Amino acid sequence: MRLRIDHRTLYAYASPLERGLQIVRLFPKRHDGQEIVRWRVLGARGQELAPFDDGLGNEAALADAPPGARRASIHVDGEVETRDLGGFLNGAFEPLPPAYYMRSTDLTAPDPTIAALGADLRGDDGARAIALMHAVRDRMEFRVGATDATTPAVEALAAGAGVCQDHAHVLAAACRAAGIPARYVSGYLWTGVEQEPASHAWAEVFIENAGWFGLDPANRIIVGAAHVRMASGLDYAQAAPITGVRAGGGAESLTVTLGVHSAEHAQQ
Amino acid sequence: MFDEMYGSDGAPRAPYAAIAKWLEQQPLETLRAKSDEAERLFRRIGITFAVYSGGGDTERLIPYDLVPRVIAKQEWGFIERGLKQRTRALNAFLADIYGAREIIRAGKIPEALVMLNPAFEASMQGLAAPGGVYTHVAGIDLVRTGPDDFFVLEDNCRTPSGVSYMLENRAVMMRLFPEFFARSGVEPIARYPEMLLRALQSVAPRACEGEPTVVVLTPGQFNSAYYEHTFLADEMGVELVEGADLVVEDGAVFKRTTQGLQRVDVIYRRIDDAFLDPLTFRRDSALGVAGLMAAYRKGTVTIANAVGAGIADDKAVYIYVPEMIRFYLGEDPLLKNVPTWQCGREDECGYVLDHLEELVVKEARGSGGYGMLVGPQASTKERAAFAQKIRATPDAYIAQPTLSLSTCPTFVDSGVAPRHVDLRPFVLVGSNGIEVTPGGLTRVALKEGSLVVNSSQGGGTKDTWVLRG
Amino acid sequence: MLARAADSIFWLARYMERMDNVARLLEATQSMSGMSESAEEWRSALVASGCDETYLEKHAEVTPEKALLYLAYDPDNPSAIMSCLDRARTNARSMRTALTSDMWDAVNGSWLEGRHLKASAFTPERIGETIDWVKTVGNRFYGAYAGTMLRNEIYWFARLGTFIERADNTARILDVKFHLLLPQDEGVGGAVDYYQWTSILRAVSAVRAYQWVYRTEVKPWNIADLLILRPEMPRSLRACYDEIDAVLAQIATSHTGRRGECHRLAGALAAQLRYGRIEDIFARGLHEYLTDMVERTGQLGVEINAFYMR
Repeated sequence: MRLRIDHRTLYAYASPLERGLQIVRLFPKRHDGQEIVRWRVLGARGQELAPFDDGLGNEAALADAPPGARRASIHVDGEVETRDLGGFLNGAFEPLPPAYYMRSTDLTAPDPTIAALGADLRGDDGARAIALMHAVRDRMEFRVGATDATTPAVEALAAGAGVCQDHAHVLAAACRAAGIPARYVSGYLWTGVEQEPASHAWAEVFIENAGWFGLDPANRIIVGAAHVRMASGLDYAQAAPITGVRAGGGAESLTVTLGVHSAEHAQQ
Repeated sequence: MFDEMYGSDGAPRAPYAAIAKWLEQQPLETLRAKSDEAERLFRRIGITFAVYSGGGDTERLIPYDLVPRVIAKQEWGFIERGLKQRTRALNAFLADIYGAREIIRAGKIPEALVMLNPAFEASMQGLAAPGGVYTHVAGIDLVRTGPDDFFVLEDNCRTPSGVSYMLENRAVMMRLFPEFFARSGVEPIARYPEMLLRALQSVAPRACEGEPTVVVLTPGQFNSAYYEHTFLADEMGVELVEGADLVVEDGAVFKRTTQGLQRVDVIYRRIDDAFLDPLTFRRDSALGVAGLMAAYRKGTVTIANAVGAGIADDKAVYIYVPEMIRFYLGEDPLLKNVPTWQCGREDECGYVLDHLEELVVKEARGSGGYGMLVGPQASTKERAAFAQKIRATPDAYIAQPTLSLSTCPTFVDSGVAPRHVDLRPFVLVGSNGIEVTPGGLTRVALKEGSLVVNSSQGGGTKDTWVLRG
Repeated sequence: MLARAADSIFWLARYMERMDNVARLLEATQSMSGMSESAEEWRSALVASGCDETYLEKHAEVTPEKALLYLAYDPDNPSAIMSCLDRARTNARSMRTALTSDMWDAVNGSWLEGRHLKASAFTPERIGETIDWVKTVGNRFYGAYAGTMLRNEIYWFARLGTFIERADNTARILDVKFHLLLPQDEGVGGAVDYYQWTSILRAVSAVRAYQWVYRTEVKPWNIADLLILRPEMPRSLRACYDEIDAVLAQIATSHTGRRGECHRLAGALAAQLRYGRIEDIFARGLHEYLTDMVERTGQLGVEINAFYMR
């Protein structure tokens, strides 16, 4: 599937910035289910951001806002060709072994409730992971505003609601508690011609002798050609599309516009 | 019990012959007067360390003992070879686990011990540290139990401190007893700052042109080792900076000066990993530099010691250091490890709990002598309370036999008496090789019979003499 | 040098100067309060130190004892003598490697001594003795600073701090005292109380200097002339700005000529003082003139910070 992405994030500040610096993880990498046709990420001055390898297998770039600026922006303009490989991630750059993805983090620390989700499940790791995906989604409705970017998995599960980020965190925590290495993935999702496009997040679990396997708990589906994979890590903090720090600037207002278009549909 | 000055026959051992004679000649009043003078000197120079708890005086002196500790030339030769060997292996280990992970693939060290270790930093993966150096400064704590028995108690690969005490102790010693020092034939140590600067400059990023700019990065004046940070910056003739003095622009690190931004090539940081970069580590850190890790990965700056080097001094990883020496160097370890039980392993935990009265139990990830049980010196009640802590979080503890640390003559209230000591030599690693300053920092437990030498627990320090002949 | 180190040395010098200024002001106020309506004297001292508002948030009325304690000792008052010493030491400590050991000893040693002082050292009976100590501290600092520091950037930023603080202090004291002694509608030639007027001179340690320069009885006109326009008077605005202008030029020269708004502002102020006439100042209104000086001195501090210390 040929997918075109046009993603603009605009920041406006109430007063001039003293300094602002962001890490941008908006660079898809190739794997057997994803070829990069063209891709560029532009910073506030229109400059193309040059990515570096972040150690976890992702590409990241620094974007600095010039001192005195009242606005900043990140513009993603690219096209990828995706293929449905039944959820399996093959041919990807994997600098770290699956064992690393058994670590817990502040956002994915389990509690007895999370551990209990997988306690009675039987079957192989793949079957248990899929069952966990449904178990998580059963307990958490999709609701914007119930959580924010810093809500840990335990709180989101207790609240019984969240967005894709929370579903992915809880699923990763539950899989690790069940002995299955798991990670958080950020990316884009093509949701159909008429649908509102969105940045998205899901999870990947490691299945012995088969490899990493993508599960999208927010949508209860196995990851396929509609998913554009950007970055992965133990949690949101390691794979966030944009994180920044700034000094000055006062109140910040944010505008995001995103289009994920299927090139095939557009041609029809 | 091994006393470094007197043999079992009561006669002084050869390296201490001059000291023993000198001590006999010094009236107690002279020693007392000199000891007071030393304290005044230290206070004037301002060598203090901060104590966090309690109100009032937050800056204290670490007691200085004026009787030097002596190491014979041959003994030092052996120690030095052992330290270099161990440091080479630790660096090879760090390069390996942040690279190809051969030692894990070979099954010599458990994968989970590395991958699940809090000190393992994924953001270091695949980053080839400039010059292949990860522990630019290593402090390797040694204890002695017999004429030829030196054990490594722990490795310090993050930001080992104490070197300013080593240097100031020597300066004070030379000032108090210039003649005695001059005729004793002691290896000099004053070149340490110059050696450190050279080691740091040798690992500048490849892209750096001309003389590399080195800075010392401190958390600031409220850090317990702030004196040392100012001391080292001063002695090396480089700038002492705080996180707010540095800024990342165009993927490189700059210091803010009165003439605008100036490029920085090597950062000798005395800040823990977690606080180095709020964009990669703790978001709430106000001590670090946003974007520093990105610059490091891009290869525009060198961080010393390397981020993630702490995995090599983890007390559970310590157990495998002899294995590392064999694996990477194909050599037999010269310095011995202390036998160590991991409470996280069920079979070993049972042994530890059954033998608490003979063991020392430490936190696997602690430092400073806090949260430690010295079994033979603890009460039954203390041991019972500690056993509960071990049962609650066994992973957090390791245990070792209570070593009978050697004693050295020490000036205390009642006169000169033996007290237990350890030794922290400082090993410098540059891209051109490894250097060890002769001697190191001797720490002494001032309380009679005590085995805890940490300054936070009532320990003092001594000048350490390596004899030239 | 590091921008932050420049900031620290600048503030170290400012706080040491402020400490000294507050001590002189206290001494003058103390000596006057026996002779006049004393609450008024103390109120004007609080105004001159810029802390009358914070004082009144804490105390309902101005009494000599409370005002004295507030100006000298109260940790809630950032400009109190002891707060200044504390802040000076914090700034010194954060850039110790840039100080000579004599300078560090002067600040740290004084700070260690000061820690033993209790509130009882700041009562009207004992303040004289304490002020003598503060002056010794100030002189010890200036001695070490003048005698041991290399004439480089570190020294120049210290000079900037000293003279900006001093200019600010002189302008404030002059303004407050004139306002107290000479309400708007009276001319400046009238008969005045000798003791009242000498209190201004005493607050800036200029009684003897006045006699040397004018060799006549104390006149308000001459006092203003001395403290604003006279280059030989070390605490006059003119002397301060001559120094500030010269130091900024020296720093610029050492930095390959790089200049900014702070250089322009300092040059303009120095020129205004160099070519100013006291009759024009009175014609325009002394209060307006001095308020403008205080404001522009504050602005200069901001511009120096923006250009060198960030």
